[in-house]
Amino acid sequence: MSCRNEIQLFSDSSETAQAAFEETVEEVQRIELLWSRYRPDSIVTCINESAGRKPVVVDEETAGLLDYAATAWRESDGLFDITSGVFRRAWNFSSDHIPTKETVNACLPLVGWDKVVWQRPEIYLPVSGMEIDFGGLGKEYAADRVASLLVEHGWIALINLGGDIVASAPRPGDEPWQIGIRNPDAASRLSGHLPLYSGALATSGDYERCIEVNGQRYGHILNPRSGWPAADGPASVSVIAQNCLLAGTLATVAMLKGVEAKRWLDSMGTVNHLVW
Amino acid sequence: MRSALHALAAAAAALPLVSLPVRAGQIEEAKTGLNLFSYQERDGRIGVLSPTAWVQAPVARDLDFEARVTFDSVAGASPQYVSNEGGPVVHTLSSASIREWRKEGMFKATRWLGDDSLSLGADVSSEHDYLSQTLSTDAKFEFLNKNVTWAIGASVTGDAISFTGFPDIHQRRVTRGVFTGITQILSPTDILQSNLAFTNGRGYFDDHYEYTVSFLGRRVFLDRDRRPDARHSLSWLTRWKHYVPALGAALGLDYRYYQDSWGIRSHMSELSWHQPLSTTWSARPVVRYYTQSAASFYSTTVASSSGVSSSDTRLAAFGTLTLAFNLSARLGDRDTFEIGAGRYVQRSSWRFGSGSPDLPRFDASYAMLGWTRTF
Repeated sequence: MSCRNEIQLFSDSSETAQAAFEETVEEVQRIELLWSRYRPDSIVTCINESAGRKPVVVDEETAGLLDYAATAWRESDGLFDITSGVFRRAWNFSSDHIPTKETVNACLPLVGWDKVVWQRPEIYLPVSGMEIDFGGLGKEYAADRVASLLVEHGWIALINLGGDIVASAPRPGDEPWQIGIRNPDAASRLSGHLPLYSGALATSGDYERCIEVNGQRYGHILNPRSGWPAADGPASVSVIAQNCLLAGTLATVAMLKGVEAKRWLDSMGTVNHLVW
Repeated sequence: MRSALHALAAAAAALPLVSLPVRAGQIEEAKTGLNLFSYQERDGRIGVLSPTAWVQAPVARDLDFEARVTFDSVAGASPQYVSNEGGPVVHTLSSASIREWRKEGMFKATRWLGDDSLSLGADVSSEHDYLSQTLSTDAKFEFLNKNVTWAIGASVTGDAISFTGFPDIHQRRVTRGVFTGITQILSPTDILQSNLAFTNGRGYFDDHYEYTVSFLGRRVFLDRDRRPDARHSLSWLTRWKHYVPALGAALGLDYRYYQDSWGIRSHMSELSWHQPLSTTWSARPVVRYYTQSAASFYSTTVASSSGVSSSDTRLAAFGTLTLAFNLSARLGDRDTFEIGAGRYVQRSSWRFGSGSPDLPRFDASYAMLGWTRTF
């Protein structure tokens, strides 16, 4: 994973802590091998290379995540869509200019979960050039898997995979973990501070990859229906939920809800923090 | 809308993932607080009661703001003259009891530029015969994966001094200061900070309410407090904080060296221990030792012809010991209450070396109450 990962756990001995730590590293690497779109032998690469040609049978774990992605697409009215990675062909967030409408529109026929034929355990991308991407789910899932392993072994731990955070239990003495929520514009400045006893925190923001043109900020979280980021949306959304997968999905969808983001999250009774 | 959450939670529950109970406090962005500080010197001398209100809050994505207001009420009697009329030198309190008020307001705005920050601050303090105004700026830069913070800053203070009973006389003083400091994270349990500060003050430094009476045979000399019209200082503060995982406690060790152009050299060492006692309570005992040499013009008898002389006890050579104890309670997720008390004892003989002769014992005690709310 190309991000900073950290696991803190309480242990009586460094040997058992080291063993637990190694087990979590193996699990993260396993998930990366399985779903990375950068690896030629991953199931995601296989599905994408088969687009427009043939269906692909997937393993049980991948099927579970595809079911989750289908639910997320449906419940978000299409705002959460694992086929929207195609827009990377139009948007270059390391440049200082935005794409033309024509370039973005050219991607639209290749985006849309409604086009995908998903009949467990087979998935078929019917148009050549379509892609799926677990970028919005994989890291969150990995953080949850690591938490699951540690909870099974009874560890009290805090997992932080590049900002996707899970607290398995309160610190000894029923103390909360103190979590700093990054400011969109300054990594060193915390925009908020959260005492987290248990649960997961995921943050979605446009601060790491965005283009600013004439004072207008174009974040990398794009609306799958238009190919453009939400206008007047928050700069960063943090959500706390029972696992990171759920928290991450809610945070990403809220980013695309624009001015409605806060109301949408509050209506579901979530604990959330938005920076505009 | 809740159905979307339930549908997603149900889909996530089908995966081999743990579902944890969500238990979190409020996300905290800003802080505000009230403090009440009380200081009392022994034997009915000066007593100060000082309430403070403060707030720290982000006002924009890249802008933080903090402000504080303080009202001091000062009552009692202060040492006003030194006399050797009866033989030994005696520091005598003013006969009249005083009651004065001081008002102070400060604000500071911090603009974030990526990981670095630039702050501007202003501070105004006013008494009936004294007005002090400060402008300050500082910048902080992060290095080495945020393990090192480098800070630089500058300030200028203008003081306007007037005299009770002499409305036409006004004096001024200007003090310029610069500082630089490094904060280094040494390990997951250790932070070291070192700050170096210089000040350059010019103007009126005399304490116009203090004077010295000397009896030489039948002759009586009266000398008003007169000090040099410049004061330059260097101050070097080093702090080490060490977390002790086995006890969940933090040890603090501070040392400050100070010297100035008046000949004062001082050393301050402080040892503190922050110990959580339960999820609610934590305690922090502090012990501090301070020693200073006397200013070159400190004298309890009228000086000959040097032109500058002061019998102000604060310019004498002495040592002090402070013992303090703070207890804080975090109630709920938002409120922290703090109560503290301390005792300050000053003795000439406690100076490292030897103290000024004829310096009276000096004791004071203080107490504080504090409330902080995060929101």
